Amino acid sequence: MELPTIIKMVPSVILSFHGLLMAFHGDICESYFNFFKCSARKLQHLIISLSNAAILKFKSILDKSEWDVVGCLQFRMSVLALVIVNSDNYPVFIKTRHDYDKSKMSAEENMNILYNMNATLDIIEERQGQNQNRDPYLGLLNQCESYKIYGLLSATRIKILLMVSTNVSVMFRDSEARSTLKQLYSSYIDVTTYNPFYCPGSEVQSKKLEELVKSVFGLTADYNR
Amino acid sequence: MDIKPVVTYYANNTNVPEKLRDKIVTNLPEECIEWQRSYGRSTKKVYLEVNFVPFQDTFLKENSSSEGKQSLLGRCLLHTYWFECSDVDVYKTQIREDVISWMNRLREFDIWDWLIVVVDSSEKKKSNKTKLLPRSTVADKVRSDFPSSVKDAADRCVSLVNPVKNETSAGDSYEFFLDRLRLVLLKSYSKHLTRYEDFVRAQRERRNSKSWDFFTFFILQEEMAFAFEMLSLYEDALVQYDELDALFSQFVINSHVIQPPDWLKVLIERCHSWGGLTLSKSISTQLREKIRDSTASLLELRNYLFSRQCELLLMQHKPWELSTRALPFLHNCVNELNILEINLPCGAVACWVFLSALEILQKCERYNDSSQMQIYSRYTIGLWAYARRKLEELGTLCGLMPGMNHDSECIHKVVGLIAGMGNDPYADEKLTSPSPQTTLKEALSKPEAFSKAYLEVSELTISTYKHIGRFRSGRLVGRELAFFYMKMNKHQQSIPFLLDLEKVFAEDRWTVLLADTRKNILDCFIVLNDCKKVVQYALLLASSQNLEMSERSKYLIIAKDNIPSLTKDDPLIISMEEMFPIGSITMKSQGVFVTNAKLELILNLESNLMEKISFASICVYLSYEPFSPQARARSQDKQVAAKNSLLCPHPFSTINRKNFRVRPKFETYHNTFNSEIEIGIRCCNLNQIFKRSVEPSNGPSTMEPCKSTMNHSFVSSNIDIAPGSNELILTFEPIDSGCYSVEGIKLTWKDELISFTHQPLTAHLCFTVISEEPSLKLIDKDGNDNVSNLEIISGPPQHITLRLNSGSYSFQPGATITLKSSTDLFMRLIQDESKQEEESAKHTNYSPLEVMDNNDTNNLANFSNSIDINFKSSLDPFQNHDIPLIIVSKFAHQRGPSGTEHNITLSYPDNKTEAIKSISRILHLTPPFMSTAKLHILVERKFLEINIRAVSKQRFELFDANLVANEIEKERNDEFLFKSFNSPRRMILYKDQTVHYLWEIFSKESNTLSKLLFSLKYNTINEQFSTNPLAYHSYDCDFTIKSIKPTVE
Repeated sequence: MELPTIIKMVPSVILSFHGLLMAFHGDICESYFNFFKCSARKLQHLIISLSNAAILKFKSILDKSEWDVVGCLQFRMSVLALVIVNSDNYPVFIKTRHDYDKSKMSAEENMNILYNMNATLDIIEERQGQNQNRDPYLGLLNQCESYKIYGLLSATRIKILLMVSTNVSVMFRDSEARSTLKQLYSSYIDVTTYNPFYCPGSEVQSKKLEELVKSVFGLTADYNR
Repeated sequence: MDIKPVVTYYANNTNVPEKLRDKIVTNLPEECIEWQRSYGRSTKKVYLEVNFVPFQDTFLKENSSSEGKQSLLGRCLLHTYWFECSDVDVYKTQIREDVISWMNRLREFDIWDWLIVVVDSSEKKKSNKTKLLPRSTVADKVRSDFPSSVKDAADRCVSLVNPVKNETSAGDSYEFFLDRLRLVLLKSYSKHLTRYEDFVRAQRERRNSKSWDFFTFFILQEEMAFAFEMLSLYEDALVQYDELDALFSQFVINSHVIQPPDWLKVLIERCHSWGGLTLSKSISTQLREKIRDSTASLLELRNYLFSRQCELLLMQHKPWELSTRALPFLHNCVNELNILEINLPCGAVACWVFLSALEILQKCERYNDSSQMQIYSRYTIGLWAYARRKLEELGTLCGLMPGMNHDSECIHKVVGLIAGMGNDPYADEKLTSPSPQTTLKEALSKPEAFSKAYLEVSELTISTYKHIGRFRSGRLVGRELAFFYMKMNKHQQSIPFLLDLEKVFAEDRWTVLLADTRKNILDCFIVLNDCKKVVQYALLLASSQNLEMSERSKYLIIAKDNIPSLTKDDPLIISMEEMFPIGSITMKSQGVFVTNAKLELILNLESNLMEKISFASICVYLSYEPFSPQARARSQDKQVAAKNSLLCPHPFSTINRKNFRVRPKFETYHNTFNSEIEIGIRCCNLNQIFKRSVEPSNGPSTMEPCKSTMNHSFVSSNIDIAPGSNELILTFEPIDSGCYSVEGIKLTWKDELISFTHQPLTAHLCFTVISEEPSLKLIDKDGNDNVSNLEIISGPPQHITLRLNSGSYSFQPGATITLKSSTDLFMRLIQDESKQEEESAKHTNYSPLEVMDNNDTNNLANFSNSIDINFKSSLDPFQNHDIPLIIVSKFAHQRGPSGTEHNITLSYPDNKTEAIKSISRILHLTPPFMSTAKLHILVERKFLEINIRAVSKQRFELFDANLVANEIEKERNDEFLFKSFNSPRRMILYKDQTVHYLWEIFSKESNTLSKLLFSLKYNTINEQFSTNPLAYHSYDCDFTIKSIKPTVE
């Protein structure tokens, strides 16, 4: 593949493969990891500065895309539950895999997940006191054999908790948790602050958010937003 | 690892090295040396340790062999050559050759790390000090002889004053020697290490080749770790292990995707034991040997790796990092076991986790500083929780949990598990606390012991959670403990845990979890047969919107079934917030609220229960506060207060209400400061608003409203509350005036067996009720009540209007009020306007009948002292009712201008008490005019002058003035003659005008006349109304002349 061709396809390709690359693991991926933080324009520059060898490697990633889609789906499938609570810890949005597919998760398991999500609020409250830097993403909060819980704490003390299963062999990368949570947060902001009829503290009902959450759970094909 | 690098010594003519050997070995690591590292890595201070041994040929060989490249520790790093010589010539002739041959031997094996030590034991040196040009020393000679092919050859020759012989002067020289030794040694070390690193790196690159074996690589890289550890570079040593850790993890993860390498397959097949982590020894040789022999299992490899990481972390004094790493380590291992699909017997993993967690915890405890307990606990709590969970898993598996069947199969399982744990590493040691394995074995031995251990671990976990402030997590563990007690059939003990949990979820409003917990609580109470609580929780569940309809009706049935078992002595009080949330409370009544009037309240109540329920009564009770004296003083404000009656908090209320939500108060401000103008909005009660409400919410409150507030309440009885929204109207008749505020609501069901209360309310409502007596006022024609200019004249009939203000009373249609006047005042009611006109029409008939004589009371037939007035329509509070009256009073026999006072009293029955209350109004009546008499005597003639002076503003016409003797002396009238000088014309009199009447009195005899009667007819002249010209009023006045006897002079 010649260099100009690559450059042309880069913005669309890289952006649409954003999720795929995240899921792709191994050494080769690491050198491209900076991509995800870059805008499309920066990406172009990056590609130009790449050596021929790197471009070849990049091509090989694209060739492997079939496998990556599976990997990405697998990893999206590993999201177990999502809870958004407001500053008073009242839940405003709760979704578990149980809500989508009762066969994948029993009611009892569903309950246990919620119990653990609630208990994780303790750790967020603890971090709330310590958190000196202004990064809302809190990282890994709680983990157990079968799951990990990642959290986000906004400046207005909105908390988003994401529970991910660790049973699936695909590694759940920290950066993916970060981007997912930030995506959810900005969507939450959209549906609450742009809606004049939303009463703070009440349950969030929004098609837009539902769609996003569905994609976070890996239930729609559109996981590249 | 006790393998040190080797430094050889070769000495032919001296025994100094042997003598110094021990000294060097101990002195060398005493001081550090700065290490400039390759690849731009940061400079480190390192300590060197060596073995100092005599030269042997074998050391030379190790460098060339391929094995030599693969070892780092224990290899020979430096060769030293020692000789004792102080004379250059001697050196040239005897020693030089020997040195050359030694060096050649080294070169043969490509060794360039050498050091020549020239021992100077001569004592002459001191005396030679005075020499001007010192001869070149042996050392200089040696330096010039061996510069070949080594850059820093000059450093590789050092002279040492023999410290054995000459201890005092040898100190400096010895130190210098040591420094030089360190330097050269480090160079060699550095060189070897770099070479080794490259080798390891190369090996790592080969990791995907078939022949590559992780265990070999492990030992290889670990040697670097040992090397760093020996140099006291614990951090770098740890990096080696971390790299190994990551490499291994990557292999395990990749094994899922790609074909696992052979060595990994072997590892999978080899897991038969699950001995816990052992951190007691710095290096577990047993495990290391297994790794070296490639016979270690996954758990053994992990155990070893983690124990080494621990050791190095503790060397760096980072016990907290050890505890942070511990939990991910355990999780990761379990995960790896899963990924690799290693088949271990059930419970084996749990055993391993429990043992390892306990081991780590015990290790951490030894390094624990009580001042950092809290921070430290944050890291260890995860381990406790994990260990607890695993113990529970084991208990369930081996039938040790209460209520399970502990049969022989279970015992068999336990035996199998214990066998897999291997030997207790602490078996020989005496420990203060039992070793992890002892603890676990004891717990698995029998159900009682298990319960004890389980409770111990659980309670420890809960208390640690609480200690570090993670209440939710602690209570979640409490939940499991509650289930444990339930299994033990100790439901009473599990309830506090569940109630705690309920509190958490109620506070956080996690309704799904709240409902789930309440189900558990209900189950407990059903077992305990606590009817009250069963009813309460069943009702709560029945109203929970998170449950299915069928479930909710099921719970309602449970509640209903249990109601009959309640006793009346002990009524159940339930908070209604969840079952019957309040939609809104509003006053239906409008306007001003007054006492004794019915007030209506609209209560919008929702019902979350699935059925219609009939309640005996519902009452919204109020707190009452009388008006404060200040408020009472500002009586005009009462109307204002009444108008603002729904303000909240009421301005007149002084009660400090805690549960008010403070609203921000804003004020605008503008400052002119330094010619800059600031304008803005300021919130002056910011602190109050942002104050955190510390009010603890204790879940559903079941407070009984205090009796005092029950006196005032809106009530409605026999009501049905259907599912969904219900609008209820409640009534209340306040008796006292003051501020009322809504405090709570109480619903009574089934003869006070159950009442639902809601207190305090989130919606706040308060209002004022005022009470004011009716008032009676005199008003003028225009309706003004300012009557200072209004003049009522006694004598002629007067139209006046009295205005009754109902105050806080209301007069119903048909109510009767009575007006009573004082004796000399007569009244007549003007029925209405039309009649009044009729009456005035009568006047135009000039009926002489209208002529009134004050003395003839018969003419006052239409007038009376008392009038009853019937209300045809109702009179609402603070409404006016005008009573038009005609009043007539006797002409005041009073000569002063102030007039007379009369009283009109209005009596009305009190609506409530039926008592007759009355209010009175004083009327000032002024006389139309006043008369005075003067007697003038002119010699013998006597004249009587009567002056009539008008007092009122009215105009009068006067006529028919007449003077006669008083009635008592009537019979004597003939004796007197009054000759009038007066005109018969009518006289018009204005205010302050005086009319003089004059009579001459002639007496037939010289009798004395003392009593005279002056009479006059008068009529009012009104410009507005045409008055009856024929009508008149008569005026009489008695005069008494004290001494009329004329005196003749």
